[in-house]
Amino acid sequence: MVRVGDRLEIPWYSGMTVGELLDRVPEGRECAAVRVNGRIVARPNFHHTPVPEGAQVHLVPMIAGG
Amino acid sequence: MTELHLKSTKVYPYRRPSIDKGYANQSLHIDVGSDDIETRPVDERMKAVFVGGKGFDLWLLWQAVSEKTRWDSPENAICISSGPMGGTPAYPGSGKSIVTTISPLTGIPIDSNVGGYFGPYLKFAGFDALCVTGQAQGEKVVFIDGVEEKIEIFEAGGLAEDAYALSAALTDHFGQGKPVDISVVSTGAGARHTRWGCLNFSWYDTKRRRVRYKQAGRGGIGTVFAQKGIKALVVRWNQVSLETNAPADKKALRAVAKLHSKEIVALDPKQNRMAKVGTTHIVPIMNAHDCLPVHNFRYGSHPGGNNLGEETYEHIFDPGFDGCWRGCTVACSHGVRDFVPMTGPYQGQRVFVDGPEYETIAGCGSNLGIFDPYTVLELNFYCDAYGLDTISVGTGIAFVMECYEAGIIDSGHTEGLELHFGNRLAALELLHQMARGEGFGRIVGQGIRRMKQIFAERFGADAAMMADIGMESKGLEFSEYMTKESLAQQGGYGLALKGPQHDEAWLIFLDMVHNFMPTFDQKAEALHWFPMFRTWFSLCGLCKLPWNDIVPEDNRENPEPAKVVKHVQWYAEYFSAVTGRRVGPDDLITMSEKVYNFQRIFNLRMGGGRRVDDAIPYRAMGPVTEDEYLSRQERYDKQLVEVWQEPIDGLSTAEKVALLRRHREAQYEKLKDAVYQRRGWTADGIPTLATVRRLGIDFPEVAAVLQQHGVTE
Repeated sequence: MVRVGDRLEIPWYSGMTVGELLDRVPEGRECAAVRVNGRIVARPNFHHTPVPEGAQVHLVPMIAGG
Repeated sequence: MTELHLKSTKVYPYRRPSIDKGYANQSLHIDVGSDDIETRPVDERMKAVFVGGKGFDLWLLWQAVSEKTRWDSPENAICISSGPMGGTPAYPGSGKSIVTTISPLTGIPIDSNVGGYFGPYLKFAGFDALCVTGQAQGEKVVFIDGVEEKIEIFEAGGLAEDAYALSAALTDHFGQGKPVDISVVSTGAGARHTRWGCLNFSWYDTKRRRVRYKQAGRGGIGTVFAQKGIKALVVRWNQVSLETNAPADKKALRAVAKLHSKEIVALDPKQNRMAKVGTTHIVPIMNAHDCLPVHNFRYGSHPGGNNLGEETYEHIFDPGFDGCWRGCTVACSHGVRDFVPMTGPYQGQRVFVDGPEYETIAGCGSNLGIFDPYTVLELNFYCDAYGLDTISVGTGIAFVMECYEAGIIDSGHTEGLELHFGNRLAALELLHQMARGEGFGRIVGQGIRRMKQIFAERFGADAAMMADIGMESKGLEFSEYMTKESLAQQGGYGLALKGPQHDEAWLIFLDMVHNFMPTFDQKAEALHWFPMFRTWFSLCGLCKLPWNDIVPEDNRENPEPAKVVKHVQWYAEYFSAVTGRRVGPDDLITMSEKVYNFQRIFNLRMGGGRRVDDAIPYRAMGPVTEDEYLSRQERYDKQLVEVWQEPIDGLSTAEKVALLRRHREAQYEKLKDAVYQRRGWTADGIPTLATVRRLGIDFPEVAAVLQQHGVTE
């Protein structure tokens, strides 16, 4: 399992990328960066960053910051 | 208590008024040339139209100056005000001061929103705003003592030159054993020799037992401060609680403050982690999105970029609470203990560095081709100590380095400095020269706009090339985001009233990543709403970070998630609870519109404020050189073919650069048209009479300025 936020759990599979995980999360398409076990992963790297089994993923707001 | 050589030249006793619903209801006016001191009432109309903070500053500045006033004229004023919510300890981000003056870089009003205790203490000492004019003979220290109810002006001799030593000594001297009661505003040696002077606003870190600093960085306010002969402004106040600001509805204030504060405590550790890493998390995100400025904004990413991000600085920052105002749960003002500089007057000594934040990292790091986090720390430290703006220093040196590498200038012009990108010792030496007022640093510190002129006139440099790569607009250096692929952010910078600073509109991700605003009308709407809402924070004495850098977990389920409407509603409730004026979210925008349009007309009065003044260098829009084009060739070729249906087979790179430029420059002009129309301005970028009437700012002096510039409808 991979935990997204505090409420959502997504089944993990070998080779799962951050991009594939976020395809299964309602707000995943509107997300520019996430934290995977605390580490920042930005959208251009979503599809070549693997998600470890049991990871805790949090979506990082970056919508009008700066 | 530190003994200082201070000679009292004026004592002005006063009766401190009770604070009423966030206001002291008077302003303080000091002429440091004549030592004249007076208080003036803040009436209901002033509060209704200008609210506070930047609004009060601009109104007082407007009254102090004429259209002939220049930055170094004695009548130019430095105005400091917090705002009605400034000084509230329970609500996150409620301790800001806003500073304005006529800028030595732009010739128009500059405003800077800064942390530290000064603004709130000033209000609690009895003054919603401070307006300092005049020019002292020698150097002056102004002490506003809210506890003893007196203002005292001193002639100062032999005080420390750098901001750290000076503020520490003044805090100790005036604090009478309670350093937390003191806040100091000062600058440093760099402000005397450049146009990039900043102000350091202090706050006292009780846990570490040291004076800490935040900077009012942009636009050379420190240069005006130094030119006036002001060594320091000191304020003393001794009690802060929820009651101190006398809110209209304490129960409602406590309720909404608790909601926002608790949410930040719960969500920041999962989201941006600013309480641990400040704004350093932005570095790797920008680097990945090709938005981190590298080598004078030529490129947007670099393999070394991540060395400068949160994973490095989290381990360097001194752990602990770092709120620049009491009770702020964002607490992002981190610093580094026991740093040992390798150059300059503090070489080999252990010092405490306040920072770095994202802008300093990008400006003094990646944009200079420097990817060593410790060199960034050293540049950060000396900029603060010398009273220099890290953003203008970074963007300015980046321009010089590109000129050097392109052969526009050479080592004969730089007096031997080899200003290649990545030459960290040369960058540091340039900074020390700015502080000493020596060598090539003296030219560089005049800012990019004047450097372009000097390089062309004295060195025969290519003016057209420098116009393309010199990252300034209105005379102010760009802050540190790449805008080539975001038309909306090009507008965010170019249409910003004071010059290209991101605090007015930051739309890169909404535009470039999320494509939330594909049409010109949608971009124009964003370039109306976001600058207005962000302006509102500076009217009220607030920091914008709690608004949208930590967002509710259910934000996506709300309408218009980009606006974080739940928080906008909380801010309306917060304003109502403090001031007793019942307002909703739309009212916050109208409040800002009044001040925003007034500031645009103020620009017009001072010789700016027209369409031509909203021009940006082509480097902000697209690739200037063939190398830049080739580095992202696939992207640019695709746009030419798919977006503009241009046949590009057989075209040289130079021809493609020119073709892309034609389209992108036309887009920017079209954006200006759409934004001006949305804001109720003429095609020349001037607010119409109908707009100022609608907003209730059609005072005779405002209407007269419009009429002088041909706006009669």
